[in-house]
Amino acid sequence: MTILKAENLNSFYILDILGIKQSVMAVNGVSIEIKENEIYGIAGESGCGKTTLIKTIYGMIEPPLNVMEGRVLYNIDGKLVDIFSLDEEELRGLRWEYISYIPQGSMSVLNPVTKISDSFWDFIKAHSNYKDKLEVENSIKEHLNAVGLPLKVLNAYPHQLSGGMRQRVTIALATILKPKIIIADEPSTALDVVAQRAIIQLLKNIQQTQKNTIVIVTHDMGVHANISDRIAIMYAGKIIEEAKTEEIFENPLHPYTKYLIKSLPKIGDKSYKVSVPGLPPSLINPPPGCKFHPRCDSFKPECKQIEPQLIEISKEHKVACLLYSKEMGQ
Amino acid sequence: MDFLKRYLLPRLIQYLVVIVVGITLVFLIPRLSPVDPVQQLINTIRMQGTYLDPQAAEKLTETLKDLYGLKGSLLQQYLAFWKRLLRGDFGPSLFQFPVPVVSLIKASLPWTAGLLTVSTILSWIIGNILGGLAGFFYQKRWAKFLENFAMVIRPIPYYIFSLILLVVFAYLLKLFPLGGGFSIGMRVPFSWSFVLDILRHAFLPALSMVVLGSAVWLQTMRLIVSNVIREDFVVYAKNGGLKRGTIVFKYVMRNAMLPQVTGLALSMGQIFSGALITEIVFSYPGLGTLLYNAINTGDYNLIMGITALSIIGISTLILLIDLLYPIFDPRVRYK
Amino acid sequence: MNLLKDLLRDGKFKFGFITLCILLFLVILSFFSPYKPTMWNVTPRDLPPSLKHIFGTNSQGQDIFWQTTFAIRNSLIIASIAALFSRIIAIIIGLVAGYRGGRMDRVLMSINDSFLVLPLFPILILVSTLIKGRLSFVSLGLILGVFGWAWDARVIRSQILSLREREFTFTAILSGSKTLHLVFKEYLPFVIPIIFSTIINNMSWAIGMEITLAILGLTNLEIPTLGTMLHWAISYQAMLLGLWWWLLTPVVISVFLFVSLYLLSVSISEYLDPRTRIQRIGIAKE
Repeated sequence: MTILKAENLNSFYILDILGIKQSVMAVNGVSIEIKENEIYGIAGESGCGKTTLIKTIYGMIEPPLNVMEGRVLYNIDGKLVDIFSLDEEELRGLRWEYISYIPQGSMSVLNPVTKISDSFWDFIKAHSNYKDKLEVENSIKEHLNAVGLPLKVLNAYPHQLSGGMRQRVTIALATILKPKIIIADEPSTALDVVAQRAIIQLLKNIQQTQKNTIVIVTHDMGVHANISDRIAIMYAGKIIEEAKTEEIFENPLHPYTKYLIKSLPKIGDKSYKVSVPGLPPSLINPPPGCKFHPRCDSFKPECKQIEPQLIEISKEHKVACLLYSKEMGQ
Repeated sequence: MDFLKRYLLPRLIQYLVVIVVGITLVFLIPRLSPVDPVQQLINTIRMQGTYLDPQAAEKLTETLKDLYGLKGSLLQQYLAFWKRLLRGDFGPSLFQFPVPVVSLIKASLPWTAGLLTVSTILSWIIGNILGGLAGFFYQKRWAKFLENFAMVIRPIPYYIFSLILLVVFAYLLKLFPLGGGFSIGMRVPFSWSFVLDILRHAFLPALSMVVLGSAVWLQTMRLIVSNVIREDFVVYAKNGGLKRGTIVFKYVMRNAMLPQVTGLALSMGQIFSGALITEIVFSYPGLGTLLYNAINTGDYNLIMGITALSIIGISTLILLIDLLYPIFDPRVRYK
Repeated sequence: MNLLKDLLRDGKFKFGFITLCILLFLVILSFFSPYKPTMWNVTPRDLPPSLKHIFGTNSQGQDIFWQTTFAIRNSLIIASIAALFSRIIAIIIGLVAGYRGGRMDRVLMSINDSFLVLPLFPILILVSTLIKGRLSFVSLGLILGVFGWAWDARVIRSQILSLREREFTFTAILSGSKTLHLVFKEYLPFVIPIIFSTIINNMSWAIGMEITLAILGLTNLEIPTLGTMLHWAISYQAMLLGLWWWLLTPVVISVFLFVSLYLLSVSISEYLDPRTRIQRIGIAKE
């Protein structure tokens, strides 16, 4: 049932600036469990560590990024495999067949000197041993149709396509080998509102047809409301709340989540919108204890000393806040 | 048609501008010097003991002035200069009078063309491939070694490098001939031994140019590649788990090559100058040595001719390379 | 001083800097030379290196060591004049083309590209043949300067183009600054670093050209420079006569000079390039 599991991940960027070593603690003790056949959303403001978390679970670890602690497990044929125990070639093999990736802002992710069809063939040739060329070609055409692109796109070069079209191409590329889990990093952010809606709808359709898992990362709560089954809220490198979408919107528990939900505009609601006061914390020198405490209006002296853990409060609703753990008698 | 207008036309215009600027320089420079070449020649003749009575001297001056193209006002001279140029007439060589300059150049041209073409293509290809690999595998030791090697070689001027090669391989180690294009007394028709002989003579000059050229291309390619590997599409390809060979060649090199093609066009003038200098060191019978002899014998017409033809030749070569660029970059081909 | 310390971290800069300092030291020594550089036969001829004559003597009866000090000095002076002169031309053309834009820009850049692309060697030969032997090294420097500005002018122009679009330009214009004032006071500080890194490149090129022209006998051969030393060594068949020290000295000194200048220019331009600055913030593994 679990398709991907992260256990106590700590991924830091180790920087050496003119002789002084500093660590940016972008992912700080994160544990999540993603199930099959669901859309799992990760939300949070810029700089909270979402992209680093994605990179870590996808296995894109390159210096200065270092995984200090923790495991990432994929469910391959029923067994849980720690991807960091795999060698490069095995990891490369998993890509696209087991897990694929839709990058943020597909403006320049396609090779500018080759045609779109070349890009498709590059990805296919790298991973599968196809027998029938014709079959593969038909499959490519089918996928293009599924994302709503005309077939002549295959003969075009990336610069001849619009941003929305390029995003659809990357979506088609991500689904061509029918992977079990697709990670979409801000898939709609770089597009205009109309295209955004189309892309989000498209992703929904793909998930319903292929019954795979999509992990969607975006700061746009509206998108999460639309498409995600469960949402995890990230702040300063930690998951501070995780629950089903309806729960998060109807019953947000963490003060930060409350701010997020309250700030969303609703039709007919003319009340004054409040955003979170203060600035996001430094990930190099984060505040002690609960990382949200400088901006929190329910602040209590213990918050400065104790770092709250992610605890399950009710059915499938986890929160990391001292307000609730106290009630649990922790 | 749109492509023609957007890409072709501006380059053709630039081509013509370069030629006009260059030829005008060739025209102006001698006329700016304080030295009157005609008077100089007459003085040399007088000093050599030949007696020239005033009438004869005047007639000689007239003829020489005509020969040098110095008759009439500056504008008249300029137009006359262009007229002669378009007819392919650069006048007679002053040293090997009356052999026309053009035929002397024609005889030396194939040697230079051969050396230049072969060594430029070789060095571009070798430099790009090595530089590309060094840029991609930048953490390996051999990559760092290549980079340092190129860094040391690159600034050495053509003359000194060729001289070092000459001294080491031809003089000290006697592996290669000291100069010339082929051994004296060899039979000219195409026998195997003749071809080999030519290759032996051409080896060191070519080596000099290929090593220096490769160092430059290696360095620039490495720099370009180190930037290209950070580009979004390369990261995406890596994340997509594409095979490494595909990434290195289809994604990185093919894109990194584009500025190198432009760079080749821009450096042709320098490479050509380098070829001439290399030829002089090795007494290789191309335009370089021809130029050198012209300098030593004060053969003014020949120098002008070589300079003018070099300008035209190099500009044309650059235009050709520019015209090849769209083949590599589809963004220029289609709007 | 901090700048220097920072630069010295780079191995390339360190090597280049130290080598250059040694060469400059030799230049200073030239002011203390016991021999006049233009005089011949002041020492016995063709002596191999010894304690009395560190680099030996040549066939003209000169001490090679002291000749070399003058040679380096003069070569550097010529190169500096050439570089300075071409910078001035480059700045003027780059600023005007960048700021004015439009037709003026297109015309200037067209001419600029022609200079960039033309094979300079034959043209320089043409120039030198005519003024053979009468060249003082100042005029040689000026002539080399006339041909070396093209690349820089383009670089400066693109910098100006990007500055023109920046906000402080609009602020300055709207607050009434005159064009010339704007250009010089506001833009020049951005342009100076670029010039600095290309000045060294240009000097290298000038020295190389001087050497090549001198060997061909086209410059004033009485002034000792690296090029003229090589010229005399070659004409006197130093190689064949076995007087290797005469030929080797200018060759080795030239190679060191070129390599050090190149390393300096590369490390300085890397230092100034904002992209590589981030790379320098380094990748450390725990």
